[in-house]
Amino acid sequence: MNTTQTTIRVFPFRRVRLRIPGCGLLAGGMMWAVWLTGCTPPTPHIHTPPDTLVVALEAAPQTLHPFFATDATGVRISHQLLYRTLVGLGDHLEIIPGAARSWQKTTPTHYRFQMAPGERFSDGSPVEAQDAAATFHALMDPAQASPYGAMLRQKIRRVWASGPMTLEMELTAPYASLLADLILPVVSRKGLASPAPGPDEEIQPPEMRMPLGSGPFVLESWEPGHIVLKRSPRGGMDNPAKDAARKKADRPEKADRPKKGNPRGAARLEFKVVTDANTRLLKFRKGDVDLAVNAMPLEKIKLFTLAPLSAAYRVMEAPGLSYQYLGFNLTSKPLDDPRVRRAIAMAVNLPALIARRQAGHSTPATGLFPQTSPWSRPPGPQDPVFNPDEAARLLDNAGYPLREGERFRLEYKTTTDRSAVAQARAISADLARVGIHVEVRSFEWGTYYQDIQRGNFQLFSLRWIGVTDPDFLFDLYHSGQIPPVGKNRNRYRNPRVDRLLEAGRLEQNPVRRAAIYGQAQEILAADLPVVPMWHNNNIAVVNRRVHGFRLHPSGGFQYLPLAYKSPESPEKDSNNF
Amino acid sequence: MTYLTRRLLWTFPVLLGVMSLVFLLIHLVPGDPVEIMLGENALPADLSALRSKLGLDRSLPVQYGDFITATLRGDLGESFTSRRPVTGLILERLPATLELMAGAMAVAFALALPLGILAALRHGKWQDRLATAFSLVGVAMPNFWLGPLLILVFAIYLDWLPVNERGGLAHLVLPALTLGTSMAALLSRMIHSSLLEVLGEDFIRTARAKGLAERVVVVRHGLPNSLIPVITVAGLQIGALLSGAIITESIFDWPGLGSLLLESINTRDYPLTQGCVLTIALSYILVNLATDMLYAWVDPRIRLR
Repeated sequence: MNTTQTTIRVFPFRRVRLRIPGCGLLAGGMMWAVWLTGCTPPTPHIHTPPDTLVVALEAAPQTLHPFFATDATGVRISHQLLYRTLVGLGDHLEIIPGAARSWQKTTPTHYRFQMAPGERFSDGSPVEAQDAAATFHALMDPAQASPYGAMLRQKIRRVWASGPMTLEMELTAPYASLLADLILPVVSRKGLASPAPGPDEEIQPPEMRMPLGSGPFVLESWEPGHIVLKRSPRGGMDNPAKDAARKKADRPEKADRPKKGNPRGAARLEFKVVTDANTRLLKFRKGDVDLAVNAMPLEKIKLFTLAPLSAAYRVMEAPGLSYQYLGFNLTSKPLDDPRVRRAIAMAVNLPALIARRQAGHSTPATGLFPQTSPWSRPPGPQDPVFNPDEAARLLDNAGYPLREGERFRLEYKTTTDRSAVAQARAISADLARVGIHVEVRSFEWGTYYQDIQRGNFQLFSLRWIGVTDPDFLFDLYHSGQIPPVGKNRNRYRNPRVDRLLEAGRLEQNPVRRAAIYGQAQEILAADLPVVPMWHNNNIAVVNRRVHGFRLHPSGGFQYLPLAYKSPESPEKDSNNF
Repeated sequence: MTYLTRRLLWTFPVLLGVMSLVFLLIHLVPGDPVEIMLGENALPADLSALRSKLGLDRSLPVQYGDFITATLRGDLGESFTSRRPVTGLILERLPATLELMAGAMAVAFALALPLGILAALRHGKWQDRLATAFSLVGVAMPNFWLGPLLILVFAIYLDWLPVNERGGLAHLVLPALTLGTSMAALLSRMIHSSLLEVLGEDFIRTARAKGLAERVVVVRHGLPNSLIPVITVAGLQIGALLSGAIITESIFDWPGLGSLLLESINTRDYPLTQGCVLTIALSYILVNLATDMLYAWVDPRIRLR
């Protein structure tokens, strides 16, 4: 019988003999496993095809159709790679040319766009003003049920082509933020007039047919969890007849210019959906992936700066636009009292949360916009600072003294996401120290979202991504924007803020506009309908042989068409990590 | 009317029950698919327009009637989120599910049969204890732990197999091992106890008394008679595999029905959820029917009436 006799000492020094059946084999197996995991981990050997960039995604796009894509993955692939938007967003959050080369505001309610000459769809046909007009007609058509339709119908009265390359747009009111709303794809009118298949007919089932685009890539295949794009033969950034401004915007940094490899960027992009975070990390360990943008859990980023992963990958990090906040329901007692909200803001240890839960990869927020944005609010004396004693004093003054170790109870709703739950528990623990008992309840997304929309909550935390124009404050804090009409989830009402936000969206003078939004943000900082928490940095993990890739502030794929793989020496740590 | 015909006819009321139940449940769960689809920019007019377009503005009995009628015509509708036909989406995922299921079953039987038989034949000896230890470990190890561990060992350190994704046979090994191990543990215990019971029967003693070789006694007389409970358990396990492999599918990014069902529930994609549940229910019924048929084949004394 294969048994191992083990002698162990048990207190008080009595010898006990254990007979564990089959222990020899089990122990052998375990020793082998321990030896294996204790070995020096192999350095990842990246074996992705030379002319293809393999990009890991954490979630599959719900759709790639340009009219319906709203999720982060869908927008990044559809609007930034397959289609060219009418205007684009630059590195400094400025509006840059897209399918339209230039624009002119002829009156406060009228815009004239000149389409970029030489721009072509993937079938070779030119991108004309009629295509852009047809696109906006389709987007605004209620029968299409595009998620962008309502916003466009609200702001645009009429769109038409006054010439082959001239697009006219008449607004319902002089909206100052209009250009930011036009970062929407332009599609070929041919595809809209009849559901004719595109050039990819042979590989696309009928239900997958999408209108033609003029982006740098076309769809080669789309299977569950696996999307392949190939360089568009005619459309996109390779078109020689680009306007000067866009050439400048698209030009790689000097350090990123090709040394060897394809100077026009990779011929193919392969997106692999890896939903499990551990598996995603293991894909990097195996060398199956070239690049991932904002797709790695923050606590795992450090691994890429250590051996063996650091030999094959580098980490790029830059400030991002996403904004995490702690929201209050202002119609729910005692959260209707600004002193209570301020006390909560002062009781939450945000620096510790950023250090622990965000692994230091976030910057403290003072409002909706990060400090890199021209609309940011500078830190001020009225910003809440972590101070539990002061928080307790505020709660006492507000009429909530400590009774039997508790002042009042609150409910904090969150999703089932592990990090969201951990964050909620950390906040709950902080608030418990000042006598606020917080019950954390997690729900799957559909239920959670409905509860937030219907005001069935007290505390919650969510994130806004990619907000660039302050007109968004109107959607968030105007009293007329309480769901289901808008996004004022906190049910915040302040007539003064309403007036400022109404004035800001129509103000044409940039200086006066900045002053209006500055005032509005100061009032919001005093009223605290939400506690601004942090702005997440954009983080990319990139194969050291990949050159030309840069992080865009939106965390998007705008610079992916410029990236290519070199067989030469790996990229040095010239990034900003 | 033969047993098979009767069972097939019974399939319809069972499916109708499943359809009714899933329709009611998905409509009772909080969460508005139109709000999820259009997002927060949508105006109330847009929400109601889309509700009307999708037929969600009609009364529940009317929606139910339409759903049943369309399903009977073979039309499972169009997915709310991807705007593609549900049948196409399911057919796209079904081969992956069947492939994973077949792989897991192969692993399960390849491990369970020799272990179960060995444990029964060497009852009380170290081989039996080893098989018991395997069963305990196999049942206790959760897939979310076993999967990454197998990837780490076989894909990273040994570099024998790919990490994830669906592809050739090599891609199937790790997900099948992950999914099949716990099933193998369960089946090996079933085979062990059932075979042990059968080996103590009179007819086995008679077979041995006739001078038959032990191998013949076990393989020809013992094993077939011990397989009935094993087939029952295996049948139930196959049914569970159709929808219950979500964790394994997630770890290995296996594009199966389980993950499709989960996605559809998260986005409140009613037609897709209904279609997935219907497919899984139908598969359960067919697997159960096949199991019953198998009883008669394994043990001819059983007559299905």
